[in-house]
Amino acid sequence: MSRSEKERQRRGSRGLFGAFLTVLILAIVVGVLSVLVGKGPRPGLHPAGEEGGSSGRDSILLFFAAQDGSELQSENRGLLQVSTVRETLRQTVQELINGPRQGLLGTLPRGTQLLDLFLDDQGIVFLNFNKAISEDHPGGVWMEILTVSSLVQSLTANFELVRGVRILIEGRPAETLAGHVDIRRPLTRAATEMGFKATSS
Amino acid sequence: MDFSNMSQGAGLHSPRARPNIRLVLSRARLFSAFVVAFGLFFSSTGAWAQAPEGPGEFRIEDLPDARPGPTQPVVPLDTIVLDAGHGGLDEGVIGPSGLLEKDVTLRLAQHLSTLLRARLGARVIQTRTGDISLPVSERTFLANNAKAQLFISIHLEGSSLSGTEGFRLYTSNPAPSGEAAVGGVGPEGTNGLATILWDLAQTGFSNESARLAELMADGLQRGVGLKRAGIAKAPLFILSGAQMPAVVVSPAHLTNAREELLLQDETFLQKVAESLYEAILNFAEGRDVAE
Repeated sequence: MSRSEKERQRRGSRGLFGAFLTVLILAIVVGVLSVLVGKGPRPGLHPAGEEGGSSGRDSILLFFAAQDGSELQSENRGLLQVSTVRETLRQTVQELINGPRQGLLGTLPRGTQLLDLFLDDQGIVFLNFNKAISEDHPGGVWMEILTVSSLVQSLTANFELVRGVRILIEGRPAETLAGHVDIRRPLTRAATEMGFKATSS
Repeated sequence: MDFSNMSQGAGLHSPRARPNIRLVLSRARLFSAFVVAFGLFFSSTGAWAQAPEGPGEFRIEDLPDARPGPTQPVVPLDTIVLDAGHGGLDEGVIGPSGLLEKDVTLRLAQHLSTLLRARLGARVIQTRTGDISLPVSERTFLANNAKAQLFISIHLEGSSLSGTEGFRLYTSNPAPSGEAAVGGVGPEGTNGLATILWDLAQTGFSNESARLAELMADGLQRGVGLKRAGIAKAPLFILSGAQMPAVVVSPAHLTNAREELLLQDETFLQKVAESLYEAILNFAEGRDVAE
């Protein structure tokens, strides 16, 4: 083999190595970029307002039953303190449990307790109640509609980030509270608007 | 209350347990649900014109008349399913003197069943004929399985206010709820598509269900004379999966002493049944309330 042929072979090997190196670097860059791009919030549940952001609210609208029980009406309620979103959500539900102050009617059975509250990254609030919300419910289709609607409307009216409300009983999914309203999955504001838009003559 | 360990509580999943593929799956499921819902809508409303059987060209005259005639039944009522609400351990609302909702709904269902069989010649199936516990989903399943043309669930109202009175009617709320509305598959994930489709089953029948509810309200108002408390659309479990026109009728408030007294009277229940029967007949013949 002549010297020029050896030189040509060496250059060919260097070219191949260079191409391999380029591909390797490109692969590393693409890999790093894909990791960085995919580093958004992951789907799943986390306690509401875990990030500690302020809710920016000092009052909320609560929906209770009207005096004749025919619809939901709102009552403005001041909050004790400007707190995190999680704490404001919890306060909202607790105030619904505590009942109205301005002549309206309560919609949650006595003895109802909010055990836990979660907010997932799709805007669903999970409310985990004790059994009283079901076992002590007086029954009747309309009464059950008012109970569920007051929760959904109160949370969706006050918090833009809340897109739906899921009710759990003692940590477990339930079909209904008293045999009527479907609570197997999250309920949206639109799905429960009948609470104060029912026709009446 | 301590919220520090909430991600461990309530039987809910922790964020890290969820793979990213979940979002992709949810989109695929929603797309599938949309396609199936589209199909359900057209098949239920008859909006897809079908060519007549046998040879020959398709002609516009072969389409069924969209305007129902007053004398020709437009909804053949071969099979009707009547559901007496509650039952067994589930007593429903309890009246001031102890009358139980589950007993009244059963008696009313029997009155109406007798009328429909005798006068309409319809095959009537009752979800229960005795005092038994029956899950809500099984009642709707029974109606679907029987391929019923109507599904009527009978309940009574209750109220913490003893003076609240009158009748109410309900149809399913077509507004999306659950996973379909919020763009995910929920914590259960695996049965997301099935539940979305269950929800959508009633969507194609919402107009007919609303027409039946109006006819029943009109009939009760004229025939029984109780106050019309309202007609509402609501996400009721028993209606959401029904694959036919379906309503919940609550003819009175059991917590109202005067109405409880009426509900103990078989003559009153017969009058309620007559009013509901007339409404069903008008529905079958394509009439509206205004006619």
